[in-house]
Amino acid sequence: MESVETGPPSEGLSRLLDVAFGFFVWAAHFLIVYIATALACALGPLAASDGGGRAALLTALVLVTLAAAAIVILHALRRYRQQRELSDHGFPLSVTIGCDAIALVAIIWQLFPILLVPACA
Amino acid sequence: MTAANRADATAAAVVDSPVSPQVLYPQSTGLDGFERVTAAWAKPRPFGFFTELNNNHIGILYIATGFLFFLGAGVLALLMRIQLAYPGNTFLSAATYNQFFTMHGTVMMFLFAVPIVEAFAVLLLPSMLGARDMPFPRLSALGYWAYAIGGALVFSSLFFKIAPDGGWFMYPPLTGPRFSPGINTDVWVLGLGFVEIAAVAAAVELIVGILKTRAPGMTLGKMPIFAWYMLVTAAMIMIGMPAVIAADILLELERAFGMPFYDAARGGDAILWQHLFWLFGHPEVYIIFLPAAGMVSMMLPSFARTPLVGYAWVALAAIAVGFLSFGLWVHHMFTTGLPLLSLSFFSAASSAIAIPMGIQVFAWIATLWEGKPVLRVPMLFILGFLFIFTIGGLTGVMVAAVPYDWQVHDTHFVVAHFHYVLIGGMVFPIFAALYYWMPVMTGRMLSERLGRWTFWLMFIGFNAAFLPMHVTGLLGMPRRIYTYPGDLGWNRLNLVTSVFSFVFAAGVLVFLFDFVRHLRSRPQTGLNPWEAPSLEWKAGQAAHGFRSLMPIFSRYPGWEQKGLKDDELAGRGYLPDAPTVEREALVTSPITAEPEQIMRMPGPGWTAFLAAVATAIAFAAMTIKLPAVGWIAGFIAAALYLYWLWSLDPALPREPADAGRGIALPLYRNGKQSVGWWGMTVLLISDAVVAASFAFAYLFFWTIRPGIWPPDGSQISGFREPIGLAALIIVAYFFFEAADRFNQRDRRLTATCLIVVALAAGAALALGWIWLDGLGIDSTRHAYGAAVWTLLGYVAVHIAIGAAMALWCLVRSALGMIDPWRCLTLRICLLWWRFTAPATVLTLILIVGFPFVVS
Repeated sequence: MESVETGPPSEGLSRLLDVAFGFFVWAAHFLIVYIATALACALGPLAASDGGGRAALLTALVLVTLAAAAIVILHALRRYRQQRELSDHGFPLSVTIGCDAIALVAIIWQLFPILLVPACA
Repeated sequence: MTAANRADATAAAVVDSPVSPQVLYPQSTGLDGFERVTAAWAKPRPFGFFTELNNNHIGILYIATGFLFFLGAGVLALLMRIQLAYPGNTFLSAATYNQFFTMHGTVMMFLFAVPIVEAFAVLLLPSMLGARDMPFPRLSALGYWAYAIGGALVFSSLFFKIAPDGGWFMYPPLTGPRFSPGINTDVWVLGLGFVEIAAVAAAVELIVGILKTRAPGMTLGKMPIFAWYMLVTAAMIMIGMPAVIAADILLELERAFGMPFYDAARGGDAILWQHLFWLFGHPEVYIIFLPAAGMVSMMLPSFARTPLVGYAWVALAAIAVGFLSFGLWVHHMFTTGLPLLSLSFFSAASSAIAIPMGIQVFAWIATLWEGKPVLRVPMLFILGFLFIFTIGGLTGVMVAAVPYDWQVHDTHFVVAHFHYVLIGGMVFPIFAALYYWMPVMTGRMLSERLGRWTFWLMFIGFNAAFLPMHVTGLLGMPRRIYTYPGDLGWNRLNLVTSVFSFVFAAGVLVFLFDFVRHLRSRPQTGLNPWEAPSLEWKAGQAAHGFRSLMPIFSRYPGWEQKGLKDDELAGRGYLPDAPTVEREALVTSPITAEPEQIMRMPGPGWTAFLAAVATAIAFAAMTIKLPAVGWIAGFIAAALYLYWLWSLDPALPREPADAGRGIALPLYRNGKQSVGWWGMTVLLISDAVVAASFAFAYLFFWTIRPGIWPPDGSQISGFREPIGLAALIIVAYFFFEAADRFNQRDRRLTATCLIVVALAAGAALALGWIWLDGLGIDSTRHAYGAAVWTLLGYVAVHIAIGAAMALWCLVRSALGMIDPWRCLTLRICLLWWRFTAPATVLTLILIVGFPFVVS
């Protein structure tokens, strides 16, 4: 007996969520910097540390931020190359790249506190 | 190839499939077909009020009930303003005032704001999407009745002086067993927990409805912008509400069983509540605002006589707000002593959200600029919204700055700020929507003249009441005080606020008068009095909405698809007939909206109403300490839910059925294309958030006392039992997967696999209990033990349900209700195991492996 579904290929959840990929990276980045700061400051290694330890934390946060920004930019470029020729994908492509752009700003924006506010103050 | 042609071509491919030798149930485009459609969707008598499931009926009840709660909470506000009009006033006692401000905020947020925006969506979305109903009408009805009955019970607690009194965000330790020993807090936790579950049910309905029941050809880029807003909002509810449900569960466990989650003396921390509550509470602001913004975006083109400028930008702004709003929750906690750098992350995110908010506002202004605006009453309310909400946004930027927030925290400045945001951002658009969509609901327009009175009274009343309140707050008046001394300089400002709050209320009263009057004296308006471009104006008030479902290939079909109504009425769309006189709808693919299935919808019935009543009685009885009544009602509710579940996944023919327009579609889907699969997937995302919230609580306790983790006497030694437990669950999961595979070939092996699943799950429960009991971890001595028991208890509930699912499938299989074709039940239960198995393993790693690593 046959149970294979007929009709058009399934449009899955992952294809839907890809539009908001940039924001998933933003969310991951946000959680990483927040939790890393909370743990480093609350659990002690930096609370009693000298300036070197705190500078190392801030450097790590900057690197994580730059990595997150790079991932979002690469995603936007990849989707642009894949979809620019497809006439049907104007709207999804615009929204995907737009989401990546806003997420990029929101990620880079976190550099301000990282660079301006002292760790564990 | 147009979207409509493509949709037809794809569906035609279904007919050509080798599994589809013949076409069932031919559709008639004639009068006989129309009569069958009308008969199938007719409202039942005499008990249609309780048994009807159609979205038109439920949506209007939902809106009316939400508005009643708005009026009730508004009366509480007026009574509070009488109390605060003069210093030293004795109109209300301190205890009564506490109950009033708690219930005002609670009712406005949980019983008015969220439900009424979902209600508008339930009413309008199916017809906006060119569909006949939501995909799970019985779930809609259950959600509505649960909300209406649960909400009424919570509100009625005021009359028995047992209303919640800890503030709408119910911070422990004030709401813990020590400082709130009465049942007031339980009313909030259990009553609103029930209502929150109803909100989640509605969100599942909305997500699946928007993704799977759009008109053929209506791609994501063509759907009405309100659908984008509601898709984001419903997703936010699915993520945000479970966090507060988890917080509620922990608070009730503390209150009922002494598990000290929020008790600092026993390793808990009240800040945990604030994290979980505001993880929901801040997105809640946008859960309320986004639908209102969606309504504004739908109304503006009608009055500006031009399409919305920047449709794609507005859609992406809605998505952006949905995500970024989850990065703001700590900005309600700036005074809790978190590290300054942590606060600054949230301060920065609070600023970043201004980008998508700005995009929307500029798109609206550009739309007005581009068109020729007509200043009717809904437009007045939209302009009022823009003015008031902008001021609320500006004061929001002020309180997003940490040092400023420290100054005004818990003062009337904050009260003024969030009323500008909520009344400006939600109440004014809702009134615009009521004036705009009233012809969809009643077939009549409200009065233009009285509408202007309503607007100006509300606008002047609101601003004159709340603008001075900013100053009152800056002068130092704290919120939530029932009276104040007369020598602090607050007297005149408070009197002004009180007087103009009644002016605002007078505006609402004029609206009510107009509403009652229009039902009798206003003429019928016809289908589209505003000459609007969207599809809900083509549907009329009939329960079936459309006679036939037309392909849609424009964002503004009312303006751009000529002859649409004639074609639809002539039956030239899909499903112009109801050959079996059952309610039918079209299922389409989530992105390109290609037709996939004809879905048979449930007809009217008592199940949803009775299940909601029984569940509400069970919750209420448990709250007021009548356990016997609670258990009886609980069993009745469980029986009703089982009866409901049994009726799902009915036997349907394998052959495709005529769908109209010369194509045929299957009546049944058993995998990812079915709405049931999507509903379960979405629900499991919410489930995962509850589990993650419990895991967060466990880790949070570790971060506050890392040096004594786990506390003395609670160390878990050895990995043997946890590994055995995990192995049993993995075995159960793989056998469920195997059951699905074997179901295609050998049903006896399927039955064997399901028996193994049930046995493995049962063994895991037994082993887990013996292991946990033997560890001697006391759930009441320390928050660590409470967190461990809660996490494992949550997993155990999932395993038990998973075992029950296996037995359920076994029985259905034995009765011939599961076979290689009819196997959606099996696959939905499999989804449950695909979540439960990794959740169990991760929980065990967290509980057993994590302390080992950090120690």
